[in-house]
Amino acid sequence: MWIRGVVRDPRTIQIAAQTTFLVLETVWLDFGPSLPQAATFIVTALAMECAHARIVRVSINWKSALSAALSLSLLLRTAAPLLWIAAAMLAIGSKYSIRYTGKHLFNPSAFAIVALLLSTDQVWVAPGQWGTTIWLTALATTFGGLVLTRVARLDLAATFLATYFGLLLFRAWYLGDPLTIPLHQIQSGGLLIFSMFMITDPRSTPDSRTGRMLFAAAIAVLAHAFLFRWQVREGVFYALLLVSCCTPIIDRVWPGPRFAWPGTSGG
Amino acid sequence: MRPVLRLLSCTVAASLAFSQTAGAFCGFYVASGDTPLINKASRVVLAYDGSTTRVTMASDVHGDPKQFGLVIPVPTVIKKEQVKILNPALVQHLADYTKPRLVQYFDSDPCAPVYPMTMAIPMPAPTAAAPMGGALRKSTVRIEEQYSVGEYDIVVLTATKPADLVTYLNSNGYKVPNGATETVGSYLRQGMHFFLAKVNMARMKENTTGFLRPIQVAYESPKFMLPIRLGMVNADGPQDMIVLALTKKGRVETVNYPTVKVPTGQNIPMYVESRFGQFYDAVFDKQVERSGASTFLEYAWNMGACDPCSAPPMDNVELKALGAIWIEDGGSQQSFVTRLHVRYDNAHFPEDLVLHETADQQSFQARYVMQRPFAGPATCPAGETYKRTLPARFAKEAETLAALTGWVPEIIRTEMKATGQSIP
Repeated sequence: MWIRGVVRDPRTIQIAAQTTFLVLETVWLDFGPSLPQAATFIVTALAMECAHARIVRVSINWKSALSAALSLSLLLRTAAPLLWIAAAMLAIGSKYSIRYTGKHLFNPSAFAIVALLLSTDQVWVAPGQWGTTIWLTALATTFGGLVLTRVARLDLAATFLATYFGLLLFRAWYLGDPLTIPLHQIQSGGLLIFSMFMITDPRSTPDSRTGRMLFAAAIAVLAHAFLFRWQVREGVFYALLLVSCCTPIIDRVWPGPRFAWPGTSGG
Repeated sequence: MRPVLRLLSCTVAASLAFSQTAGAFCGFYVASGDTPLINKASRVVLAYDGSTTRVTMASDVHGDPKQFGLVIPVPTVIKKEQVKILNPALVQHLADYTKPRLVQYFDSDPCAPVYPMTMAIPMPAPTAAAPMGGALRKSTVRIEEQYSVGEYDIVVLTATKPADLVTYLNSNGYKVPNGATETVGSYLRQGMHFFLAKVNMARMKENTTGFLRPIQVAYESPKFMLPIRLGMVNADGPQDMIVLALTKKGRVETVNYPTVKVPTGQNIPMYVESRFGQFYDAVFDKQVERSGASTFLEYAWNMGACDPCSAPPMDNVELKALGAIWIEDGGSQQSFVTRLHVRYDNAHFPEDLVLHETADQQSFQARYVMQRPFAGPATCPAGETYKRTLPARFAKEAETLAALTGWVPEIIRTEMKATGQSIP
């Protein structure tokens, strides 16, 4: 019975997918996360989650914390162990402190990444490390698609990727570049992981479909500007956070049913 | 039981003779005559402090300097004071300092251990050379700057129509391949300018180094990248580029291609010593085969130290000349060097290399080990045990060498036998 519940919960599949990528990254890629780093993210995030549950007397939402820790492991790089702890604390801390109408405003791991990028020069993200290996793309699409279909956020990922690819195609057309350039740019494994696991967080994205599509398109436009106009390599994370600030307005203009993970009341 | 092998600390030595015979800048060379162009390798030093990039382009192209010209897209208009000519020895020094290295260790006599011997294997020194200039023609081409620095006549220009720029280049002695128009157009639309350099033969006579000297261009721009697309237009196959990045904070990597470490730390047979360059070329070929469109990390280290050093350490004056101007006198640990090796062609590298600086200070070097066995007689039981373990060790080294290079195992074994490393 318990197992059936776990399998039915889309977060289980998401965590399985993130874990698969983490293993691939650790084993297969150079400059991936170290095991102590990933373990620190996970332990700190779970500890923060437990502390919160104890203080406000609610059940422990361990899947959410684990998923945030895995996202951090996949995307954030730093050699300073104190910053591993800080990253996980910022992620879970933001989830419970920056909220509106019972919903957290920012994707926890994106918030931690941006907060650290802005406050220290000791962290970086490695968007190119995944390469454009086709099988990885397929794997990400399969896993991600599965997760998103089950939580009704495929619209978000599809809108983001379609808008972003459209912008890449437009840029190539404007510059007179061959098609191989936008195709290479869209095939980034890092971008796909970002779009499948980060911007699609159902708890921090707009409630209505119209709102979500607008949200995703705005992130794509802003991310494109960050990357190509301002040459900011971590542009996708900044774009996500900036657009997330508008989620309350989007929800007010285009209201929709609030999402809740199966068996939880929030978080 | 006594340890059978005792590693001696010992050291260094690197001998690397890359098979790259010709080099070019990351733009492309064009000939003023019909001389066939060889544009297969280049060496670029990038000093980046977060906002300003100082790019030094050195070349190994041999031949008549009159035959070569340099065309490179740059993010800003480059004025005369932003251009410097460097002594080729500086780039050579940094390249030697960071190149893949072969180190050797000596087994001690297991019966009467003794201590280290140091031996340095001399390194072969490559050479440098290459570019040319332009005139004016009525079109949308606009000359933004025109001046001479050292032996070079330099023109910085832009155009509203890429075809005009290509026509300009062709009518000024730069033989630009047909396919270049689209790429030139792309750079122009990105707001980039074109930096052209040709050799002024009269002033070349004043250059006593005998080589065309590296050109250093400084610009302030958020664009931390290397334009490789033009270089591929007239290439007759994949090209190699060594990027030597000097930064304040840490390792440099590419953001639109994976950065992969080359294999390091393996024990290889002794006969490789005499053909280390050939060995490393084979290792690199194999890596390219395996990892495809990637940039390969060959060295990453704080400039304040090296272990082992494959060339004498560089002083602050040299590093500042190469563009690390943030270094303060007396402080040697204020810069980090990254050596990336990339083999690119149109099929695998559609885009320019986009770079970023990480905060990663972890040291890395492409280092291969020769473990010289103790050659003396075994005068004790431990010595006999040691001798018995050697064939297995040699077999392992042969296996490693075959895996690293793809060389034929039988030939490896034969070569090893000739240098006293017999495998039954």
